[in-house]
Amino acid sequence: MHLNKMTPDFLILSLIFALLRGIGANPEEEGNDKSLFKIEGKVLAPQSADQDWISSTKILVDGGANIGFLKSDGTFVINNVPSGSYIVEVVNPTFVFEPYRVDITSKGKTRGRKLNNLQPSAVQTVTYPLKFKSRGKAEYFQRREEWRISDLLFNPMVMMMIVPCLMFLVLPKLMNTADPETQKEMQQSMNMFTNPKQNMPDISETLTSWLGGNPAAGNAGRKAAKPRPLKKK
Amino acid sequence: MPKFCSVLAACNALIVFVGLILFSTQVAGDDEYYDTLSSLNLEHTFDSGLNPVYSRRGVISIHSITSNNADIDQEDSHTPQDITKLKALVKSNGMYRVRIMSRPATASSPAQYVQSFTPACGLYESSLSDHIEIHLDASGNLIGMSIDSISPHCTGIQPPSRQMQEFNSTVDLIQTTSGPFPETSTYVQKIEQERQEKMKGGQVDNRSFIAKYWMYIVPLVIIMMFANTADPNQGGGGR
Amino acid sequence: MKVQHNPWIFLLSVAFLVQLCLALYEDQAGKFDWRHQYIGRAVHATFDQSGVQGKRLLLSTEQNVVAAVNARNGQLGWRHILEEGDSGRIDDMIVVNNFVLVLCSGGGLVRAFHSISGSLQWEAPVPASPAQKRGDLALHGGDDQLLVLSGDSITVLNSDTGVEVWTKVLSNTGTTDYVYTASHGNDIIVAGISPGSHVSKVIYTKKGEVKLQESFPAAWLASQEQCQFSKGHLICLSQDGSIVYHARLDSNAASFIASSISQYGLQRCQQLEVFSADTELYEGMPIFSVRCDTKSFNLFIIKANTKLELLKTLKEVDSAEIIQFEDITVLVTISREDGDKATMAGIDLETGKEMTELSVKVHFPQHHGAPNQLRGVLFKHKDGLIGMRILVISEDHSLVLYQQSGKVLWLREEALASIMSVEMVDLPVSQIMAKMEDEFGNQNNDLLSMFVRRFTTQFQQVQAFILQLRQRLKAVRHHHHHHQVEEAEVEQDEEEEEEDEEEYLTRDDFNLHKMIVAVTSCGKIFGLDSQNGHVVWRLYNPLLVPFTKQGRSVLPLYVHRTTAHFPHQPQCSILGLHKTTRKGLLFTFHPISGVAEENMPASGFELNHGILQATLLTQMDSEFLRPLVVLSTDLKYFVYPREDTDLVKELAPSLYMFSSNDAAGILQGYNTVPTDQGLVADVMWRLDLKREGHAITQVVPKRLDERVNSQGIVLGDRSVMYKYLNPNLVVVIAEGDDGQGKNSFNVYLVDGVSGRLVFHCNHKKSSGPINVVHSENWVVYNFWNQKHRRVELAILEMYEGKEQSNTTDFSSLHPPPPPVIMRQAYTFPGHISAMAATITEIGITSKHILIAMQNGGILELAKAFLDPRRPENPTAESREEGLLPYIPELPRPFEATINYNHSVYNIRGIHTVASGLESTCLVLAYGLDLFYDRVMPSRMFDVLKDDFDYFFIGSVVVGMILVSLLTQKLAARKALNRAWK
Repeated sequence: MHLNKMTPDFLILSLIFALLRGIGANPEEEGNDKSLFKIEGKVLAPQSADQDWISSTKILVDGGANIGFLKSDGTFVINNVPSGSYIVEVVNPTFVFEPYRVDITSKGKTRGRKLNNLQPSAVQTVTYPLKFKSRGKAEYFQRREEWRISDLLFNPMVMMMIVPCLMFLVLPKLMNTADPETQKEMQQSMNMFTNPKQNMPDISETLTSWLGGNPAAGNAGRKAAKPRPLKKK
Repeated sequence: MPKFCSVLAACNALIVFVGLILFSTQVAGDDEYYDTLSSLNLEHTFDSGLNPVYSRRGVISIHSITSNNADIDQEDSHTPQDITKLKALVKSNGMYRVRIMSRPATASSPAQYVQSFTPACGLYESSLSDHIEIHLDASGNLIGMSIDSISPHCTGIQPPSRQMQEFNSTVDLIQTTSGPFPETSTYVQKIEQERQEKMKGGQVDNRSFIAKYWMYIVPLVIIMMFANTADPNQGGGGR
Repeated sequence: MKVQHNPWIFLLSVAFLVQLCLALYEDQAGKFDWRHQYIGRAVHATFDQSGVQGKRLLLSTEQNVVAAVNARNGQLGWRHILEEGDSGRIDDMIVVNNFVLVLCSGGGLVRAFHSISGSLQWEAPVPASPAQKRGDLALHGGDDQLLVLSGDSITVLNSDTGVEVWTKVLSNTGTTDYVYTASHGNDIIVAGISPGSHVSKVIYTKKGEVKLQESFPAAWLASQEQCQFSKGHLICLSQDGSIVYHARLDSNAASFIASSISQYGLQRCQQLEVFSADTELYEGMPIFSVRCDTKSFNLFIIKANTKLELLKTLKEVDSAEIIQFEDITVLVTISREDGDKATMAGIDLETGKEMTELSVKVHFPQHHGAPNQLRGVLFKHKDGLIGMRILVISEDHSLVLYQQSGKVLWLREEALASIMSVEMVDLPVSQIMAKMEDEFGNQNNDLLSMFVRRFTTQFQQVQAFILQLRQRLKAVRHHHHHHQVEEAEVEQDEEEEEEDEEEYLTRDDFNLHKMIVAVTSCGKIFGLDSQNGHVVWRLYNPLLVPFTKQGRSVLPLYVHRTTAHFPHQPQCSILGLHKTTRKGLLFTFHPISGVAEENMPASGFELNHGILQATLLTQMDSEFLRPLVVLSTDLKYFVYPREDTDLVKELAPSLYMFSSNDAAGILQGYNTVPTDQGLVADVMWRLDLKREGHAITQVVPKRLDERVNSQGIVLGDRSVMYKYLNPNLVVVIAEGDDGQGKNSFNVYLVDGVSGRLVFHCNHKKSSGPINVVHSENWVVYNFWNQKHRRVELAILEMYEGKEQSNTTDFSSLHPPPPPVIMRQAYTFPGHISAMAATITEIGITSKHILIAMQNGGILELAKAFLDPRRPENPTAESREEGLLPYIPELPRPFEATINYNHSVYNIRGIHTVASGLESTCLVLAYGLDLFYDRVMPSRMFDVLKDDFDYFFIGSVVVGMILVSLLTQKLAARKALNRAWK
């Protein structure tokens, strides 16, 4: 009777013990089984490929531990792959393909996922059997810088030099310089540039007018009065 | 009956205890650094040329590898004849050699040693003061040693022989460190943080139009003012 | 949890990349670089009989390559490189219909390729065989089925689809080595040898049932090499060469029949060879040959009544093959003669008469060695004449194709697929320059004679200049025609080239044109022109065999004297092992002309001792020759040349050498002790790196010719951190596994003179293959991280600190304080097969690391990416120093691939050499393919770029001058007119 009572405890404890041993053992160690599996997939023909792209393409598993070749329709099967996790990449001199990672469990279940070297355990599954689509031609070369006339013309230094030159030459032709009125106008515009003093009080007056209020009207009137005496000369 | 129960209970406890120990060692097994060596026999020779004869110099006791705790016991390390041999070595620009056994002799192979040397003149001029480095690998096995005298270069001085009574040594233990590995975790975290910040802080720029562009608007206004004040004057004056 | 790359960091790195990654322009491709593709030493070769007769040659090689070569011009049609090492080992090859069937026994696969396009038809898994056992293929059932003997099993596959019909495991495989399978009617024969006891045979029916299994005793059979299988028969030669044992395998005969061949007067026969051609002669009975003491070649046939018959005896035949031509069975032979010639002859076996239309003298140079195999086709031309294409595979791995007129159609030097050592030697200066230098060196101070000499030299210079101009005009026309005809790795006419070569092989202005000296594993030495990769000269030493060090074959090449010391001739030598005595062998030759040295015995200086270590001294003797110091296995030093022994005696106090015992993990250092018998080595230091299962796999010192330009780096706060520059530092890597599938390796930095361990670290759960680059004060190495399953690259950089210990001299015996080792590691998106660092003459140019990848590209990565001070959080200081922020993944931009779409596979090494320009480094990557290129790590800063717009700038300058003159004139005229108004 006591024995009967003891054995369930004993069983439970042994079970716990066995479980602990089981957890302690590393689950990721590859087993001793030697069963071999396959990796299957297809490489879609790139758009501008010529006929011998198939014979110049090969599939590398883990950098060449297993190599797969393409059949004439672009499919491939890589045999004799033990269980584990592999990097599968398509090697072709002209076209770029993105590599994938393939996990094969010891039972033979295969899944493909995106290759992430920074986070190797991150899982982003892709279709299996793998489908490789080219991302385009590999860009090996830089474009030569070509010299265009527009480079020269749109250079700011050039613009600053040439455009005023043109203005200087072309504008007098447009406006009739013989006309005395236009001449006077030009002179006055020149005066505006050469005689900045005329403008300065205007600024201070306008500012005080804004800030002060009434004297502004008087100032404005005085301003209008000033040039007239000058003109009468 | 109760005795039997208690015995059984004790057995169960023992089994569980043993299981726990095994479990913990299995989990921690890879990373433990065992102190397998506790004392090393240091030998030296003052002979020059081929086939020197090594004699015992002292014993290095290792207390703790991780905290670089070791000391050397070297009483009766040498005789006055050894000092004369040392002087002869110094004259001929010879080398003073030391060695420690790294693997004892077995049935199939002789004993293996690690060996090092230093110019004899340095040892002589520093009055037998030297510095010994013991190199150990990750499991605590001896892989190499090196010996240096305190004085960096030989100047030709002759210290008095009463200073040559005993060796004055310091011992350092250097263990194989772990090699560099890519720091992906911090980088991945940083990327995550920035991505989240970007998602949150996308539409924050809701300040008013003027608040953003006042830097451009104000000078424009001033320039327009000049133009207004100047032109009417000129325009008026021109008639 | 998906992680997206932060666009800012991405942009930043792209910005840096644009600065740091210097791609080619499309029109530059092919201007400075060339690529040669090879296949390796051919083992099986068959002319493809489909389509036009003998149009394609299908080959499988020792380097695990299956290829189709165009029989007319030797160009590669298609090539498939199988897995490296044992898993891609090709055991047998059969051509059937339009397919090539290849058995890779180590990998356990049979692959069928389409012979014209090279695409895979099918691939079938079969049991794999270990390295010592070779598999076998045979056709069965009228080409419908394929018999595969591999991995101790016999498998039958459908030869069109590769589907398995049945497979059976053989018995007694522990004692018997099953090596042969054949088809006999509907039955399948499998036979094997058990050396020293018996021969076993098993006959299966079509369905796979055992019909007959028996073994017959053969106590006289000592090793498998005595026997050959052919057409269902086993033929063996006794060890003393007087008895031929043969047995039929397809019937119930249970014993050997011994036939004495000494009755024909033949003694000491050896080298039993069988001919596999399908002949209708004698109802398909096996034909074999033995070579006997008088170097005679004797052809035997086993008749149906099991009697031997001697068909033909020939003298002095190097190689022979039986070819079936319509209804004639022809024996084609080749025999070498003196003076680069050989004779090819054909004999009609039925009548025994020589076919005179097939006998021809061909050009077969001595440097090919002995012909090993012949393959050929005979066909009838339209006008009734017999045409022949004979392929000769020689001892030096070369393939030569001859026509019936004796003309060489093409030649492929396949030894270049197994290059062991490479050096690039400067070409000699032209005669005129040499004379000028001679003038300055002369001690004669007499004014008149110096004047006369100067005058004559300059007159000769003018003459030479005119001649050169004329020759260059001729050469342009000639070379233009030449280059249209010939291809890179295949040569058609050797004679025409030699006239131009002598003037052509002089140093050019920037010392970019060099002579590449390549030493290959079969003992053949090539001199290649670095501009186009053409073979300039060849030397063959069949007795030279490489050393095995750290698990690899090594054949070191030393340059004793360069061309810089006229009138002394340049000299190179190769240190190897003698093929038979296994003692040292030193072979010296002239690297520019390719002539072996005069006072040297034909196969080199035989050093009567084993070799432990050898080094070339940096000191030059009075004739500007660097002596080679060799340490023998009994710890004695030998100096070559002998005359320099006194010079080395003077250097003895500072001469230290070290050697490694790779399997035992011991590193030992020696100094030099002068004794009466010469210089003797004494063990000074020793390291014991042996761990369970670990062996030393890499020992990498620094390059002797490397110059470090700056002694420290400038930090952001304008202080200097001095580099730890120890010229005696050696990187040692020991890798291995602990027996449970967990690999690890240790990195040790050892001072080669004092044996001090400067640094050691350990990488757990990581394995090889490991490539190391050791340069200046840093070490870069790559490895495979088993835990995360990715390739990682680590860098260690050594700094002394803020103070420099010794500004003038470095002595390992009085070492500086232990350096600070800065380290960092990154992941690399690709698998690396070789790495090297660029090197320039003064060391100002930044360093780039060249990485040869398994996908065929060679990447040029700036050292700035591999900087252990790259910060995770960039500060203002680090930005000022120009440090890139730390990103754990290294970029792999396509623009940085120096060989663009000219992929090269299975690269074993990259050799870099400085050129005359500081900005340019010359690179040669060798392995299965060769690729040569010029690399400019900091762009070409010392020469005007090649698209420099001379025309534009010149025209603008000229235009502006004209305009200014014109306007001056106009302005003067206007001023004059105004003055007159």
